[in-house]
Amino acid sequence: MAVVSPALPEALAPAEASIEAIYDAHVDYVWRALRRLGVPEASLDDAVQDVFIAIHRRLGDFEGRSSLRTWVFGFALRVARDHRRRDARKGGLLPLPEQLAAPVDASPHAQVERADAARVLERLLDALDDQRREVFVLMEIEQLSAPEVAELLSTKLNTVYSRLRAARQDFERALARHRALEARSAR
Amino acid sequence: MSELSPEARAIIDAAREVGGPSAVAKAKVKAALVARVGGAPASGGAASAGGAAGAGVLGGGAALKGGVIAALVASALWAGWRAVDVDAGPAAPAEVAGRAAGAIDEVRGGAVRDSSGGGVGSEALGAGATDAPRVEGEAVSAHAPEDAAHAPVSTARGAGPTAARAARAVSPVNAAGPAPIAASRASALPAVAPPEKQGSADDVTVREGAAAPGPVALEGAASSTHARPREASAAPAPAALPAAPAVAPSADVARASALAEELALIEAAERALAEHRAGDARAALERHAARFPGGVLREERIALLILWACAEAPGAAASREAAAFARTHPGTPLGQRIEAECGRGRR
Repeated sequence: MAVVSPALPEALAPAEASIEAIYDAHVDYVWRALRRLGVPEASLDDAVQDVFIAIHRRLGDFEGRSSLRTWVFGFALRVARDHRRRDARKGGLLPLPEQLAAPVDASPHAQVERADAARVLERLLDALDDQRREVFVLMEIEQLSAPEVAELLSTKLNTVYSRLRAARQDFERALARHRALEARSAR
Repeated sequence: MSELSPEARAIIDAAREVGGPSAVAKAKVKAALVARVGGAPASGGAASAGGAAGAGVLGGGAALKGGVIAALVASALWAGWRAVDVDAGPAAPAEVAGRAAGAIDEVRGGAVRDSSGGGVGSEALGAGATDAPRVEGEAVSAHAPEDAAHAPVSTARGAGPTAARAARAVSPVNAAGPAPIAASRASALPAVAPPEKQGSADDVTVREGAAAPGPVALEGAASSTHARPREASAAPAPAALPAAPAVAPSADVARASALAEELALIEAAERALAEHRAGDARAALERHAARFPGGVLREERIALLILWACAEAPGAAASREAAAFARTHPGTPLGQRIEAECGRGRR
């Protein structure tokens, strides 16, 4: 039985949309992005709320110069920064299993592999500093373009490329370290 | 610029779509969001259905539960939130409920047993992604054609009953007795055996799938003739009548109330488990099984029951059921949790 969730076409003027429709259309990637931008597990639901509250308040400001998705990422970035700061002193809580739900459209084996990959990815992202992490998440994972990221971060295009380059190096180093530790624990 | 290695790229590609919210988490946050913004169109203001309560959800939210539950009700009232059941078409709430009857739980004597393999519940946790919206979709479908005209009225007028229902929904006393929605919902379901007794782990059986219905009908189960008028009464009043309080979308409210009640029971069980109050956890799960045998949060109930058994009666039966659940729900949050928690007990 197929169930079609409401979608919010890009063409639909957000100011005319209900916040529920906007939430339904964007919550999945907002949730993932917040997690990958370093929002602690225990704060994710609050952070997601904060993003959509902010969107709700600012919908009238959306001019369509960027895609709605890019615009939404702007809120996610700001909220993630706030929550990282706020939660830094609390220390991270152990992630709940339910926080790493893999899509169920794949075989069981593929689902397990994806969930494993997600855990590794989050561990590796933790090795990046905040600025590099933001660029890496937005470009490598969310696949925004460099100009979009530059606009979101209010920074120069060259700076974005520079951070991306550094982030990739950090990520590769973290991956190598992860593999080494994995191999050691397997012995 | 240096590119990522193929291995790094593979990790990112594999993980890209993983880590989104579970259906339950999504619904909870949405409910809290609606409570905070009042369920209004983004461009306009509207009455707040749940006050300024934030999100108090499992796993560490920050808001009052009353706000969440009130918002669940409010969100069902709000026409913008809908899911369309493609197979059923827009106007067959009873048929939808009937399909939900494909999965029946029984809580009886014996070991924990999960024979899920079909029906609604076989979609496991992943089904949650469609289950939660589907509830609202059912609610909306009864009067979809006129939603747009009536939604603001419904929302504003729903604020009163919403608060009252929210208060009832969080009451364990109330949860033990059938609410109107339970009656109308149960009427479309096969008879379900309620728990015969509460006690040791040996008493628990979770049987999934289209098992033969138990002989004892759910308490408060109404006949379909009772349920139908409730659905009919949900039809909105003609737009020409400005004051339409008598035709509030009771079916919407009732379904949202049922979901709120389900949520309250599951949360109560989860909390009790975390606090090692085994009896309370078991009681909450049994209440859920009796009241919502094919409920939206059915998979959560089964998983919690297995977790309960692993904690309170670790042994071959619990381990076997945990392993079976984890095997049939690989990569899902519940499967992983059971694997982790019950596995830890075995080590």
